[in-house]
Amino acid sequence: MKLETNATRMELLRLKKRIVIARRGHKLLKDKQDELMRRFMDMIKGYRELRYNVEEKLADAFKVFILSRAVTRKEYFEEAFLGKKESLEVQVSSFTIMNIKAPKFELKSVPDFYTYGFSSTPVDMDRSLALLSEALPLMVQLAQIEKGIELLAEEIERTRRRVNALEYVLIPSLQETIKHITMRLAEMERSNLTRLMKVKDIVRAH
Amino acid sequence: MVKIEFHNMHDDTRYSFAVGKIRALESKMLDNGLIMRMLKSSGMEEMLKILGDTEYGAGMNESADVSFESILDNELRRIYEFVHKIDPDPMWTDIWRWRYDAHNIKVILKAGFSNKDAMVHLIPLGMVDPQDLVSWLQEGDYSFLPPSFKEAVEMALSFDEKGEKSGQEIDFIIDRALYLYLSLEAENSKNPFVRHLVEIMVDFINIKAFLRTSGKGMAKGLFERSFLPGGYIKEEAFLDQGEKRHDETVRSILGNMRYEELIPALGSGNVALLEAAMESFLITYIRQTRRRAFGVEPLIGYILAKEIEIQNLRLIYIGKANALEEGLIKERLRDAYV
Repeated sequence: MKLETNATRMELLRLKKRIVIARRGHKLLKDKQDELMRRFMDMIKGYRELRYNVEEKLADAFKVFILSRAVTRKEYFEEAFLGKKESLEVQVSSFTIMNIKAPKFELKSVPDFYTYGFSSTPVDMDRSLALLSEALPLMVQLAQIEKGIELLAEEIERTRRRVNALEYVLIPSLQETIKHITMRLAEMERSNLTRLMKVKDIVRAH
Repeated sequence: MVKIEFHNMHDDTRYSFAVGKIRALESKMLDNGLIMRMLKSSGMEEMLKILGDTEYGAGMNESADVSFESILDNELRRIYEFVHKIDPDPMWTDIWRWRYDAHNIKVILKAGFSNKDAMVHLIPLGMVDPQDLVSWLQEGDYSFLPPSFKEAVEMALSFDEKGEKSGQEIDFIIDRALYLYLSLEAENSKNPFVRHLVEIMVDFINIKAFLRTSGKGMAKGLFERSFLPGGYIKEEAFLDQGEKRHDETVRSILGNMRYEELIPALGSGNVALLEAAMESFLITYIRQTRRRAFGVEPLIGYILAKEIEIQNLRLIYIGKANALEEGLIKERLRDAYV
């Protein structure tokens, strides 16, 4: 799509400068997009492994948890977790990936999972809580990676839109406009030349 | 295995009717074959169909909406009430109900500390009505409690004043009071069956606690705090083992004491399997009461066997409901009484 401009030499020079900058910007953005994609793929690979690990741990923990519930009365089971609520502390800071500020989660204090006596609680309860406590830091790590991936994906999307805008809109428009102005200026040049030749012929006839 | 010399014991002929009734009821209990059929059933529905043909069927037919847990609870309540009715001296069959009161006391204390509703977690099978227990504890009236419980409740409440509201500590205090009470009562009963039964129960809890507290993430000194008195195995037997690993300590304790049958289960390395083996051991112990014609022992044996039977049913039902592997359920099943 041609830009609305005056077909002047000044404008042509300005547009030529603009297209150089646009092409340079496009290249830089394209490189950024490639690097973002590379980082994204790396993170996805790590994420997949961690997710698989966490899911496996949680599946084991829940299976043993159900087993422990199966050998105990519901009331005994609930009584075991009725005491003081333990809390865990997660410190949130940030770090940058390719100039994107991503959150960093750090597990500062882990609660005491074993808040019950041993006479009416089944042994499997300890094992399921041990598995859950093993999964907890991994889950926090997973949340950090997930958020990082989300932010990276948004940045990739934004960069891709910019690259596409430059590649398919701005640069073609500038090219078209430059071509139009060049043709227009050439046309004007020819018109001037013809006019001058005509004037010269008239002068010669007199 | 602890052998009870019933022929040396006094025959209490007051129990002849009650023992006769219990013998009739024992024949209706679920045997290993039936439990295996339920385990191998294709799902919950088939399992319930098999169970419907047993004495649980009556409770299941009462209402279609009733939950499986309620069926089991109703059955247990029925058993306790029935045994209480036929027992000429219900004292020795009632003392086991204090286990439910101990649970209820723990719930009320913990719920009080954490501002939660206690009623939903109470078990109405104890000696004291849960509603009364809540109001008496709130009023500070402990006159209805055995002395060991009274002291334990006061100690647990003093924790609150000091701001040390650990749910685990409350459990330890109340459990200690419960088993102290049971041991004293067992001693007073002069009945070797009851005395050994309490000793075995306490020993098993202590052995499990010793193995459990050796696990990763468990606080130091937890075993000493959780240790229950009244068992055959003394605390020193666990603690005076030098640098031995916990399972090695337990192996030598089991070998030196009277629980050699449990050594193979300990060898599996899975304490949950040892737990199942312990309850099967308990069943084998109380099964000896089936040879007793006159006395309270068959009644106590029947109550405890019924509790383990219900536990087996719960295990199969929840296992089926959650599609757990048959092998996992099977290895945790306790022996049937009949």
